[in-house]
Amino acid sequence: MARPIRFYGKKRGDRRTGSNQLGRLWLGLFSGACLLAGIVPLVYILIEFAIPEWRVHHRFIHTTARVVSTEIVEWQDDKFSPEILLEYHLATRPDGDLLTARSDYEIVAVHSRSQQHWERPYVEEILAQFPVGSEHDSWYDPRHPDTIVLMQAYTWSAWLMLLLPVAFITIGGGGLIFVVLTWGKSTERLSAGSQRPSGLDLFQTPSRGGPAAQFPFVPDPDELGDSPGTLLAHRLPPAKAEWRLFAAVAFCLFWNSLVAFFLTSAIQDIRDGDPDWWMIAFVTPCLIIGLGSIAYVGRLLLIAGGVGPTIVEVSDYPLTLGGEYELALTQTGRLHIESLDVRLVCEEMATFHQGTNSRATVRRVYEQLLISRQNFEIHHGLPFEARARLPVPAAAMHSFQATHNRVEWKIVVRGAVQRWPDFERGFPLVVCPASGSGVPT
Amino acid sequence: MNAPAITLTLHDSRRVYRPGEKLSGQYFIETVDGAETQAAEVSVLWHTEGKGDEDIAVHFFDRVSHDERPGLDFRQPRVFSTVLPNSPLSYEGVLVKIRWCVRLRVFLSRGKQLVEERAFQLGEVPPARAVLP
Repeated sequence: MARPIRFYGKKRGDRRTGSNQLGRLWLGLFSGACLLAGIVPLVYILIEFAIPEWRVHHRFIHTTARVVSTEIVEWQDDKFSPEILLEYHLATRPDGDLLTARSDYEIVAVHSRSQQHWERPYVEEILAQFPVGSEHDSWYDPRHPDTIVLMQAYTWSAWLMLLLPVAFITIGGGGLIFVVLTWGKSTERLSAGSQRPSGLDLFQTPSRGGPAAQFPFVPDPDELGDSPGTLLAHRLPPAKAEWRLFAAVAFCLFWNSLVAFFLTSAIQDIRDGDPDWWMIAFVTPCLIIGLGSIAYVGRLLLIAGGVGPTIVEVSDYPLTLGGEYELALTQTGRLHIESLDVRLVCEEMATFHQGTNSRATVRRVYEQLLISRQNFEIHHGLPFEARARLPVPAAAMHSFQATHNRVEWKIVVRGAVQRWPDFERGFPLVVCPASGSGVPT
Repeated sequence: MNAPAITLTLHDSRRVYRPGEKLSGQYFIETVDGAETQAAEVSVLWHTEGKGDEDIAVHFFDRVSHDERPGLDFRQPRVFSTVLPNSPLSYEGVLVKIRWCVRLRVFLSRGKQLVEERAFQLGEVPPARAVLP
């Protein structure tokens, strides 16, 4: 039976249903608000800072001005500003009458006097640079010749502040363009119009005729990358575990730098006989996390440095469901291995949003032991080598990759080393459906 | 106002198709007032269900509307057909489930929409079970 489109969201099992139209309306309103929140401050910054400063640099005309008098003007809250009375000729009429005008320090036209308040000693220091009778390079506004500045300077904070409204405008504008382009279009129409194999880089063209073109939403074996092997035809690339090490080191450095800062402050307070217990309560758990991260990084470094490279090669690539292949393992290093297992595994991976967080979860749905060895030595320059049959089950799911869901096959090598942390290394595989049928035999 | 009666049928009554096979069907929409239906979109697509956020991909898409073809009579059966792809196969996983279906979306006046689906299976991958690592 036909069902009408729902205008409110509903959780149905693990799947959330709802109205795309209503969602786009909210997105449109949100984007419009973002756009407005960007345009208003942008216009303000442009009118108040950017354009006047640009004019000072590119439109104001150079002249030489003589200081007639200086004055310190007092404002509220014990704040002061300098005022300098200048005498100068217009560059366009060097023989004309002298013009007299007041200039604040820096740019009188850009910042109103009420915006330039300082402590009195600083103002005195400024005015000391401009003694009465001295002559200085100055720049005046050709539109209003009585507007003159003694310095050409940029307010960098104002120019940096432009980034904030620009970010809002980009988000809001992008959202509005998306809403306009997708308004009234169904999910299917949008999907049909913008379809690309998932996981493919935006500017990357799908390989024609290869496994990726033949099997949509099966990862491209070229993307994973393989190289010729020495024992068998293809050497599998290891999973990108180095990113885990890099991320762990970066986190460890960042976190412990912060902890060191707060810890130093807490220790100083204790030494001064005035311990800040709130600070100590805050620092203690942070310190425990920091020490934990150091231990974790140390463990990763031990594994990376202490256990030599693991090499996995296969007789053919990509693999096919129901196919039978050969696998070769090479483990280098100088180790006493207590146990070493090589497994063919298949895992499902799902990414989902929980509130504002994106979470991922993994379930192993297939596992087959290929190689298992116990208690042996690996000597330097004499790597351990083993071969095994690699039968890929016919009654299983092929490799699959979409934006939020994946089915991933891989070879997992797990080792227990004497007096060393255990290690586990993964080697992703691409397993294609059996050609033409998709039905296991 | 009476809701339109939507008829969506697959020519082959099988539920399981093999990759590369032809899938065809037809649909028609009966309304009291024939002008009420503005457009219709028929898609052959897969989508995911399960723990993760939904992924969707359309393999075949056809849209007909009064804007593009004035005088279109949705009461006349419209036939569609497509050759099914090699992947992804239908899958009943633990976290990830891949469902194939033919979906007919009917656009009525005043922005209302109706959706009718016919599920089918591509390939025969057996259901997965979780194993402890």
